Amino acid sequence: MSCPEWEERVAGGDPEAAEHLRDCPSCAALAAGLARDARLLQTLPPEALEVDYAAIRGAARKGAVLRRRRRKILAVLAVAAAILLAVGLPLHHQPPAPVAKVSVQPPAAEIARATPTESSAVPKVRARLRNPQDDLDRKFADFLRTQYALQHPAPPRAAEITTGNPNVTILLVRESKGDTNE
Amino acid sequence: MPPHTAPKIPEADLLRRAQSDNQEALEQLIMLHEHRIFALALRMTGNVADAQDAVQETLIRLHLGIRKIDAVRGVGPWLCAVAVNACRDIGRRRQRSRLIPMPAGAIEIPDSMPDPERRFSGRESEQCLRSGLATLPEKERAALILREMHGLTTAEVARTLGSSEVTVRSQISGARLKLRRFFRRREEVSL
Repeated sequence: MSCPEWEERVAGGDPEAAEHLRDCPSCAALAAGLARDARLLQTLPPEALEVDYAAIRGAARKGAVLRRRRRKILAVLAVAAAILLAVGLPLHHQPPAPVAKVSVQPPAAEIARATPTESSAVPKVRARLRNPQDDLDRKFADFLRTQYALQHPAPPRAAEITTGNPNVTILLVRESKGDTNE
Repeated sequence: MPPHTAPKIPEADLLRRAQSDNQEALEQLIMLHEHRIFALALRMTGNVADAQDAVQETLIRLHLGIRKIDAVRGVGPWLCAVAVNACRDIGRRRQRSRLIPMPAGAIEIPDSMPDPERRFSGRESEQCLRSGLATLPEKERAALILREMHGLTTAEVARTLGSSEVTVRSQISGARLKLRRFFRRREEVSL
């Protein structure tokens, strides 16, 4: 074992190092130096300084009082905050407003822009073209509905019956499908 | 009242009374330990102002946490642990690195003398020692001071610093070697 390794063992107070110290003068010198340093550390009193211990004690007393007070204030604030959270929150709790889910299709131009190049496997989305035949059909259906309504006017749903008292009018309402609540 | 004139009441009794809100007992307990706490803080921080701050902080924590102290372990190790932590906090607050810069006077090389014991005496020895301790990393310094200067066992030092005993042993032996090299360098320069 080399001396640097022994040095660590000597400094650590390893009893096995005692034999090595007999044969190694440099390690023996190190051990003597370490013993001297230890004596110095243990026996040297701290530098005689003018320390006002009474002032330190007084400041510590005041500091402890202040910190105790601060802790109490913080505890009160924490309790108050907890109460506010526990009591205040349900009052303001309202069910969320219903949100209509509307799916909006992006304009065709945007789709076309977002579509990757032709090499992609996804087929291109094309803008829907209006069929002129569909328009004609819809217009014809509207025309037929109007004609039917003209030829078969709906019977009046309510009839008024006047009474002798001008302030009283009887209103007869006919019930039809889906009007049960009227 | 200086500690040597304080009435000889066993520390355990003082602690018990202090834990029952007896302010006088607490004061006596503080007076028993304040010099040792200051010495520890001075060697940890390297300057008097920081050491006084550390002592004050330690005493505040003693006022607030007196009931937490285990009577079996005693007040000494508890105070040492709190003082070491207070010194670390002060060091962090002042944004110091692990090496505390020493005042210019403290790192002056003294005139030729054969070894630190004979070379330095009184104030000079303390300054030399503080200079040497200041070159040590914070944890090694704390371990060495608690073990050598305050007579704590390795297990107590480990508990105080929140490390394992193996780590503390390694820190102490490392610190001893570094301190020895520091003294040797100073001896070589002065020869």
